[in-house]
Amino acid sequence: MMERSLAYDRAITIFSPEGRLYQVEYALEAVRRGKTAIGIKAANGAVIGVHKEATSPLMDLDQIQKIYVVDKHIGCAIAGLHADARVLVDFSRVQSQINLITYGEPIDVEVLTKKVCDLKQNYTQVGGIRPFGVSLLIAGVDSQGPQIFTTDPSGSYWSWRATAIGYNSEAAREYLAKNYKPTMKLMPAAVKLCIDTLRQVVEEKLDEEAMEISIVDTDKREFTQLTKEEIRSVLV
Amino acid sequence: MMEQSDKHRLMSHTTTVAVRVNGGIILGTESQATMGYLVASDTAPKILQITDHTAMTISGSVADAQQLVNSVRAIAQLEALEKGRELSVKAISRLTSSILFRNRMFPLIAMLIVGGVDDEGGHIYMLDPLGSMLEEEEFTATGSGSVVAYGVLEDEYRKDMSIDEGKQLVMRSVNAARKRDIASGGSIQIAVADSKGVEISRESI
Repeated sequence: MMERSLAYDRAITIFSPEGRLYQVEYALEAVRRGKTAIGIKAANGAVIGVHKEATSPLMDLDQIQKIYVVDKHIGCAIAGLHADARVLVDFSRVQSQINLITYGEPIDVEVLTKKVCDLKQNYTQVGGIRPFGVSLLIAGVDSQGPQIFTTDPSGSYWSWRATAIGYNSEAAREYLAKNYKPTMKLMPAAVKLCIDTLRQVVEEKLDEEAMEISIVDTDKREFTQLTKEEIRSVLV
Repeated sequence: MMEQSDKHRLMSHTTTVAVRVNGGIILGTESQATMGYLVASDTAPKILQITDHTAMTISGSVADAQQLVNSVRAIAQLEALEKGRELSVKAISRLTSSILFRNRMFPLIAMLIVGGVDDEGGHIYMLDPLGSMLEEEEFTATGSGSVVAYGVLEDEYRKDMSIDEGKQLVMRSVNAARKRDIASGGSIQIAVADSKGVEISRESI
């Protein structure tokens, strides 16, 4: 016999009798299976780090990019379906430039997050399409200081001092809650906490080859990827 | 030969002035609106508030300027709600200049001065009908009376003037234009923009 709920997950625009949107919840499941990404707000900047893993030994890990630059001062990590994420990253990049041309100022991190979430929300309400199976972890620096936001497939977003998305994110958030201090400096304290958290939830021996770390500080306001040497110097 | 922008400048039968002082911006205009040789109004408002801390002087076609200001006000308000804080003076100027540029095939005849105070202090931007945007560090003037007003400003402007001194200077320069420029007249309107906001007043001469 068919389960009662099954009839309500054939199209996303249909609520179940309990008021749930099953397709959106399934999209969240795609996020939970994604690689772990960590974001931390420090006193003088923000850091995001992701776990990288080769599905085959022939894969060239150096060429795989898991953190995207959106604008000079903003970047994001993703958890979930990569192809879906690319669409959102392209959209974010265009929105950043529209803001720059219209107002002559770089876009605020929250304004950008909101625009991405407006798009995501639309994909939970319009017929004939499916939600984005991806969460973004957006980091940047604007006139309000360093910022970390996460978005989910429903179009909700949250601001964080430190957070994680993707595989084992609950454990990562617990570890962050225990070890986070709002006064910590970006280098090396916040970067170190970011790496430690990744190691805690993925595996102990994670080295600089299996992670990607990017930072943005309040002085230069430039979102940049750390080199392997820079990551190693923090690990020691 | 006269450049196109010069023609626009003289087309606006007005005097508007902006001066940067310590802690704020002073905007000033006279209040005469003309239709050919007819004085259509001698109490025309030519300083319009855009946000709490930014105002704009208008000159040229009153209709074009008013519609432009209505649009800019609406967009600035929406964007402020989105951002959770007010737009900067630069952002408002840039927004206005892109609207002007977008319409350059059928331009809005408006010479504008945007003045206000934001997190980075006081700013003055001058915009022309085709969308050029120039920041002025000290003072600026537009309209047919600007040549007269500039004479007073060039002579009496000092850096680090107080708000009161700036107000007096703007009054004197607009008053000179009011007397000597045939297209300027009526009373004087002054707007003071500082960190507390914009205050627009009509001054008796």
